[in-house]
Amino acid sequence: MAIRIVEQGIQAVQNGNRDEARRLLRYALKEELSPALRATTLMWLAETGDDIPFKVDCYRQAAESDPQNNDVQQRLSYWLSQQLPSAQPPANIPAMPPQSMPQAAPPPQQNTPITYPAQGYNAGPPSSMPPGTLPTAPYASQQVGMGQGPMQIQGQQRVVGVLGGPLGDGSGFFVTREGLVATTRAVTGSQPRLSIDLMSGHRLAGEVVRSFPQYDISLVKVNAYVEHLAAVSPSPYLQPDAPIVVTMHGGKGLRSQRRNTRSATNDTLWFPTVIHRNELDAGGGPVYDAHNLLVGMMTRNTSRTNDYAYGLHISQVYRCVEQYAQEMQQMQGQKTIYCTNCGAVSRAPQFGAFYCETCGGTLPYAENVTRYPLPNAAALYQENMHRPCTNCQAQVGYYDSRCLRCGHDLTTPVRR
Amino acid sequence: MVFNRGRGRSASLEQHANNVERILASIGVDPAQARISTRDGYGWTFQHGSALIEIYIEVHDQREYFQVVAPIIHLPMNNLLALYRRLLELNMSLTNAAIGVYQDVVYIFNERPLTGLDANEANFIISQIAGYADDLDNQFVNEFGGRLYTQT
Ligand SMILES: [Zn+2]
Repeated sequence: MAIRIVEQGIQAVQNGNRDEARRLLRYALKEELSPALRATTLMWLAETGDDIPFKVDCYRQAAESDPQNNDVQQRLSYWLSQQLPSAQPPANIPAMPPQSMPQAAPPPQQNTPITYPAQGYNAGPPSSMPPGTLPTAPYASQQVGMGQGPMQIQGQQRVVGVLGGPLGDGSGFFVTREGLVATTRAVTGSQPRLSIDLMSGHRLAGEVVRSFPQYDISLVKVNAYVEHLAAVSPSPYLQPDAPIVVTMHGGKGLRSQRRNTRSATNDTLWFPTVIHRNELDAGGGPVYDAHNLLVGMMTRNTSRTNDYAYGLHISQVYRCVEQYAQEMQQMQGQKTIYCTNCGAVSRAPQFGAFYCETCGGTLPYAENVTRYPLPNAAALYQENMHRPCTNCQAQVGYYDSRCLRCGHDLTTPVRR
Repeated sequence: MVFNRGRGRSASLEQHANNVERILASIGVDPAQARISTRDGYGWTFQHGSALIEIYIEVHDQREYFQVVAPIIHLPMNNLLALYRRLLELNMSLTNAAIGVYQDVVYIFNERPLTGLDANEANFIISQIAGYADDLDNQFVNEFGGRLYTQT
């Protein structure tokens, strides 16, 4: 399998074994590879030498193979500029080649540190993004893709549109300066990409990077740097009858209040409103309080007995943002992919595996390939760390003291 | 489902067993050869194409059911989460058939009330279950590992 050889080659680069890496990657390039994988392989091949003409040649071939790959184009133009005598690298290209290695088959994840908004959650590190390097000329509703340098967003974005999801247009709002948008999982559904509309009419390409279906939260990354985040209420609760304003895509505001229910006033997840579902878009709009502080996100969830929609406390939204940031930190340097089935970030690409370790769903890149058992992936699925079943010897684990493979109850003796 | 359900041999059940044997004979299965002894019910097993088919009569809430069951694979030792998910996804998409796991074996099956069942319909159900079993068994083993049920 060519992809296995590519992966071994990448591993060799990462281990600093450049000769072995070059041999493996060149060997893989003789096989039939998809254009994207060929480009990735060539990008890694470029890492096996310091010779500039060699690198340029690798990136040229990669660009021919996958002309849409912005990363390849950036690297190619950088190294081309290095070939010219006394050349200055273009302003929006880092002076050194990107630190992060190109990723294998799956698309790269953004592993940028996260900067939190001014109030309430001000524990984050200062922004690590480069100062504005792109022209601020109007983007005039063109799609701004990844890899072009972040768009600088100066004015406050009270709300953004989240377009192209299964339920129609929804809303969202920025939760980090690095362009992370929160919306509901209902709005994104299982789609990996959507469009994010700014209040100015600019449209950005959004990549869903993490979902938390249990809280109806999705996080969407756009290639933007946001100067002003909405100020967040420090209170984890919302008083009964408290006035609220839900802002929706297009700027429409809905004045309402927290519903006065006897129960659940100390619920740190959900708060009830007196907003009917049919007054809402697909969901995800930010909820502000009387002081114009962000207190939550509007959802289309209702109770079973009436049609009043629930909001999600902003503290829960930020707990999810925090969790995502921690996961990204833990997985830094590893190949990961967003699982559209369950919303988790999967490490399956790191193992060359086909399925999400959280839900077992087939990952997008593995959908149209020949899949086969991979003994090395047992560690990913934690199927080799339990004591063997006394009936079938499987080490896959137990639920309710019964083997997940054969159903044998550990508490009863084996019948032979 | 065929497993773990109360079984009882009765006069009317015997009558139904005769009906099933007549139906099996009419679709080219020798009932005497196919007959298997079950703990306290009736069963038959035979090869249909490359699939192994088992047939049972079960009583549930005083109603007799005709069950067609095809064991397809022994579960692999690994890849269970992905395989179980795939089984549930397929369960959503199969027509007139369900997928189940009993102990360490994956089954495809169909059951319907025995009353009114004729040879045509029985034949259709058996062919359909056998067809699914044929399509899926190698596919599962190739992707997830494990072992074909019919393979020793
Ligand atoms: Zn998943």
